[in-house]
Amino acid sequence: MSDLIQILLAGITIGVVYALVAGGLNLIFGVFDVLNAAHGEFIMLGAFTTYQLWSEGLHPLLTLPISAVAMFLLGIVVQLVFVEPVLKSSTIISFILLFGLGAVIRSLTLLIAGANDRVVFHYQGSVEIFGAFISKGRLTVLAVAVPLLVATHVYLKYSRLGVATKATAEHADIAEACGINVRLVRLLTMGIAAALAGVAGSLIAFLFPVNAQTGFTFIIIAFVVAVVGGLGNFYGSILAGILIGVAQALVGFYIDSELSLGVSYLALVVVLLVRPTGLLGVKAVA
Amino acid sequence: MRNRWSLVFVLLTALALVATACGDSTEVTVTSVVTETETVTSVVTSVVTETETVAAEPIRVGGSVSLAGFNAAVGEEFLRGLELWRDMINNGTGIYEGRETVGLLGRPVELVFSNDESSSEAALRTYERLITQEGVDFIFPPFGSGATGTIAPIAEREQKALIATTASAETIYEQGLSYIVMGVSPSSKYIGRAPEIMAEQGFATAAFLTLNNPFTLASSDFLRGEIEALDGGAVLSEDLFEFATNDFTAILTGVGAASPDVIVIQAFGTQAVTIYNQMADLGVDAPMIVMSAGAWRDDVFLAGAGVAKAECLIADHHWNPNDDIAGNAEFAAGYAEKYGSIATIGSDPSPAMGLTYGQLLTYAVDAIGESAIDDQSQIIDFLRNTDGLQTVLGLQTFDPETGKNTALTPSLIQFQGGERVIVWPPEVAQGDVMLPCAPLAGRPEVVTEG
Repeated sequence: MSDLIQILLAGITIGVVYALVAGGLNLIFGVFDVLNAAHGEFIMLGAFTTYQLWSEGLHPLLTLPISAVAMFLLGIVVQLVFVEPVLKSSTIISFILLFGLGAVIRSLTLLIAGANDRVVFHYQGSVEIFGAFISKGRLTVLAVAVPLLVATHVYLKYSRLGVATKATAEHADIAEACGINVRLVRLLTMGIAAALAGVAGSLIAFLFPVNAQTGFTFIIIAFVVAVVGGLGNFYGSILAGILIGVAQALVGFYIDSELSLGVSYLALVVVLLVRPTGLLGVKAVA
Repeated sequence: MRNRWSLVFVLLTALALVATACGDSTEVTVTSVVTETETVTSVVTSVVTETETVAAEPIRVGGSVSLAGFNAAVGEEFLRGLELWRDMINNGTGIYEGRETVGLLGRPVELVFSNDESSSEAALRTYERLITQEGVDFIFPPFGSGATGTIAPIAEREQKALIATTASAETIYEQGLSYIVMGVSPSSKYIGRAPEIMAEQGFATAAFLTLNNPFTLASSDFLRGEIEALDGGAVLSEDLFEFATNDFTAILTGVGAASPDVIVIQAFGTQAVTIYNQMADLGVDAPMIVMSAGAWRDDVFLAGAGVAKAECLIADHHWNPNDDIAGNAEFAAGYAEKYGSIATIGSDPSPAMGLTYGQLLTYAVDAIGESAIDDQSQIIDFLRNTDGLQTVLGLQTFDPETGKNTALTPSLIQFQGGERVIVWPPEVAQGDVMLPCAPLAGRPEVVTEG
């Protein structure tokens, strides 16, 4: 029983990280139909920010807001410079453009920082819960990621900007006609999504070695999570993130660790065949 | 709507294909940029250094080195070993017993290298270029079994002797290649003596955590046979993982449930640290823990796991800078002078692997003469048919058919009081094996530095 609890906790932890990343992807797609192929680079840069600041002596938790703000600003720059000019083109144009941008950022990071792993050796030891051990690092990730997802929900559901975001997602033209500054909504959406990815990257650095490829590794799974949950649906990404995280952990434990990544792609294939709109249906931010 | 979903599917499929087929292709793209710069820099550096000593046309020895990525730390040390060999041979320092000649074939040695950033594909391109375009006289190996296995067919095709001092995976040598020798211990023997300690201590069961790599798989295969031959011996759980794996919770939970006497970890670098730390976090433990290659470096393993957690771990030992072997003292002194302090007993043998490459090449070229450059089958014939060549890694003898090393068998060290102490085999031991180990999870948390 304790083994099962341990596996479930591990799966949920990684699942909420997937949810943070995929949630951002879905916000962007939900609001302005762009598949952000450079999203992984926000993760990687967030992780590097945390590593760098921690190695300068800052507590890892204190690096989170810095990472979030830095990625928020970078997200806005990316939106202004790269996304807005091609917004009226097809989805594939923005996808390829952002894919190229991501590759450039990754290559520059490799050139500047090298390809070496970086490890935040801070969280050591674990806590015992019903006979199961959960590391302090994972607990910290849960303690940060879950409230952050809740806060995003509150923002979307109750704030004026959140309501404007929902309205823009449902029908941008009508929203604009009603006086909503759609361009501002898009900017904020990209900024928030990038900030979520940055924090996710920081949290990943709490648990695992990070390098210039870290974002690329996670973004593949995040896209899978986004599709399985329902592209454009923020809550679908939370559900799918946790389901896939847990499924990976269970398969790794009960079947074979080599198959744990494969289970997420199996889920993708099944969902695309059976319910192509994803678990939580058609595009809807909330 | 249907069209949009089709588009999404196509885009995701394309992305997945890029991710799976070109796992390190983005790295490769950058590598090629770095590569050229590194090569130019290294050649210029070498020329400046060597014109001070010998004026003749240099012997150009080329290859790829891993100065970034997964093998960055060991790759840099390997390069240092090569550079020290170059310096020693150009200065007339004895490379082996009785050798006082300056240079190789009376000419200075020049190293030509590119940074492959631990990418086998980048290494492959480097060797293609060095051999077919730049026309280097000899090649040195890239770092590791993976890259060496990748470039070995190039060496075979171009008839270049590949003295592989960093490639321990036996599978490379079982393909009928005729231009390769294994200048290092076979991977099966790295921690191959651990079952002897198990037998002495009355331990019979083990759990394996093995990186899916030719080097580590060969080691696990050998250990499995040895452990199953013990009285009551059994491998209770065996898990493979990939270079990209970083969450070991599922694997370790299974290992914990199996309650083995011994946990065998076959991983490198930060991945070895991650496994070890997650073991401690999850309370997964055993009376004896053995690690192959992952505990070589203080700046990676000890810094990452901490001295307290490293205590009692048993690991492989290849090179002792204090051994009384021709060239060893000069090598250690040269290393200290050029790069700072020399490695300690049982730590990273990569510099010694670099020098060993040079020693074996020097033995062969000295014996053969000028024709060794154009007919490198002679180098392999010489090495495969000459017993007991003394190198800093030990006496080397090769299987005449395959080129596999038949002489080197590493001893084992154990971390005791923050030091590496040779504990096995008894005839070379500096101290007794201290087992069983105290629980990992109860040890002090000491790591705060990056």
